Amino acid sequence: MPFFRRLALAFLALSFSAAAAAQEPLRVDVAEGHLDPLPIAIPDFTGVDVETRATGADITRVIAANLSGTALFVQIDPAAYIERIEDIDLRPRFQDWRIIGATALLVGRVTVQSDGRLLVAFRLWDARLDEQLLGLQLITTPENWRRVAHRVSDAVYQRLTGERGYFDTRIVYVAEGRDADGTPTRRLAIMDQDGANPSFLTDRSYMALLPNFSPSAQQVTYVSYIEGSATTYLYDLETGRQEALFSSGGRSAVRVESGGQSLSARFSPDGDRLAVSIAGRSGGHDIHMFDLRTRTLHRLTSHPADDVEPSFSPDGRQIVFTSSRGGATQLYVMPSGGGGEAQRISFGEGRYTSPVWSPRGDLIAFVKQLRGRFMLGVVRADGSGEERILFESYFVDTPAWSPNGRVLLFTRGEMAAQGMRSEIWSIDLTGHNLRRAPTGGPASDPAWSPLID
Amino acid sequence: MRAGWLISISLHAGLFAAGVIYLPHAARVLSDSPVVPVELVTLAEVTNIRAARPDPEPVREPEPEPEPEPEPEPEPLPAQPPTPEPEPEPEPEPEVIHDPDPEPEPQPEPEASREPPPPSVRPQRPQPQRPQPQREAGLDLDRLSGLVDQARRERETQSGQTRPETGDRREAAGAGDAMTATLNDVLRSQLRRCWRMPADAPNPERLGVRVTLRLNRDGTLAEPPALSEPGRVRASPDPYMRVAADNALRAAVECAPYRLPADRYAEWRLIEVNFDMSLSRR
Repeated sequence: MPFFRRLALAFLALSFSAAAAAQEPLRVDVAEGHLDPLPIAIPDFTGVDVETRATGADITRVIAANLSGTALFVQIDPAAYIERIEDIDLRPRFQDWRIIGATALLVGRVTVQSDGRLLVAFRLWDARLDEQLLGLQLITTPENWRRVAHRVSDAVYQRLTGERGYFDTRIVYVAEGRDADGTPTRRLAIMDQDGANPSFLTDRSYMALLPNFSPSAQQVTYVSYIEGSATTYLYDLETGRQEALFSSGGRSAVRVESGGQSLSARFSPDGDRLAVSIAGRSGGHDIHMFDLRTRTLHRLTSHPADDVEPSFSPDGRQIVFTSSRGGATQLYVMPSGGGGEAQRISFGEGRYTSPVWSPRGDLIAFVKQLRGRFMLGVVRADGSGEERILFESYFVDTPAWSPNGRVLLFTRGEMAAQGMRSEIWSIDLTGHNLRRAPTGGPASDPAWSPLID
Repeated sequence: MRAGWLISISLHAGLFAAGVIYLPHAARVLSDSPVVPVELVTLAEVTNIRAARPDPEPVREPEPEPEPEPEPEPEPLPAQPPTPEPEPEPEPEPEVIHDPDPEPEPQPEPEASREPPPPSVRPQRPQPQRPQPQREAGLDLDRLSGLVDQARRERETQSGQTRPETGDRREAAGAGDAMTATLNDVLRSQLRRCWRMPADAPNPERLGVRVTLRLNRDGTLAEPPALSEPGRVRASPDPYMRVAADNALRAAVECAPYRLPADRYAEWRLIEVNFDMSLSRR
């Protein structure tokens, strides 16, 4: 079969010459780079008339503040922009954006639909790779333009960093003040993550402390005092309805033993249970689980020492809590369903308190008190490795994670002329980007809402 | 006769195989945007994408800076009844459709030379301090923080004219191997300034990305850089992997033109860069 053999030979020759032509590349390993913020250009979102142009400028301002505030992005000064974006559906002139140093370019347009609703369209371009990274439209009522700006920020943040954004969220906190006669007041307040839309949830007639969000972001637990005894309340943000969950008397849902102190209830990730520390007869606190559907309470720990401040792991299987069972106050992890030994995870000098499990699952934030100073730190949930201190101050308390586990809010107290002044601050997990949260006045006990889909 | 059959069968099989290999990639190009929840419809449905704009107009005046409206400092409202108004939730608008995203035609770009000519005096680059290698799983915060600090220090020292360059003067010694090592060092030092590493992602060691570059003799890119394993990287369900791929490609583009010895062009006309943080832990 000469023909077939010739064909085979031709194939062979062809493959040899192909191998010769394909040059072996020079291989380079790059193991280290930089962590500079990504330069992004955000020209004002366009509009069709004066009104939509004004809304576009407002939306752009909120997005720019959101992104710059993370320190992961740096906004390029709009004065430097060369190309004027008039139509977001045209391909931008990438060289005009590259030359001013932009890596990403966010353009958008605001229009009003015939039904009066706002239509916000945006495109995120990569000015280095000359390609579109994201293109979406959002529809909403005109009053809701801020939420649209947060949604756009979240989408851009996620596309450029890989992790979920946290801009379309709210923060509940305790606003600290004084009455006319000088008695201190503690009122629950709520605001958007960027400080917009602040309002009070509770009045001055009683103290409200230590709020925590439910996973649906519709409910908040907090602690108040009835006749000097700390009691856990459940507050519904939608309806404003509130109820005392446990107390030793009165009309509350569940009676608990004498004293009835109940503290710092936190929701399980599925929202069905609350972990709470309740004082027993002897006065020592134990961790309890409260089932919100059946309204039943059962005890999880029964150690003579105080077990307080429970917080669930994101999978709901474990809790971390503070206990003085080993002498000094330290952090322990145990199964949330009971059974199994509590494992100690903190081993340093000082008092460890306020543990909060990261939504990412790998870390637990805590407050440590050592030689008269307070520190905010994180430690691995399995107790391995070294703990890491992110911030140190005169007073630090109540850490709260951003829903993506990247940023921590906390109460920071500094000595002032009239005693300690509390404020809420945030810090990045890397220990950088320390910022004051934009609460109007003195504030403490932040709780960060989850992301709502 | 039999030969004819054999040829026919093998060619058809080849065509089929080509389809199997190529078509999934072709389809993947379109399905890339993650769906952001609620209230979304696709851009392409109403947008009517035209061809690229005819000509970049020569208007080059910078836009006037938009007047920054001072945002009123949000203050908690004074004494208010304890029943707050619940904020109305936006109406859910769950029409979520993927953006089919036919991008407009690219327009030819004027070549812009962004790199200043290399300074004539090239001080030897100080050896950067490596953070202590630590063998721990997961996010290593000490290391990460060290990297952030180091990045800041380097940015400070690099501003201004006295940008430390690696010596491509060390090249002379030795034969082929040593030369390759030097080329490697030169490329590495150029690329590390352009690469945004994924040090703040969880477990960054898993986010290695390889990029293939084809260079012209003047160090510019002969074609856009390409992922060496587009299937593994682009098909990854991990959003961090996708970002790592973007950052690797961006680094390859931003670093061009590469400053490499022209007489060795044959060695560096084709380069495969492995952006991989796990390599520093060895």
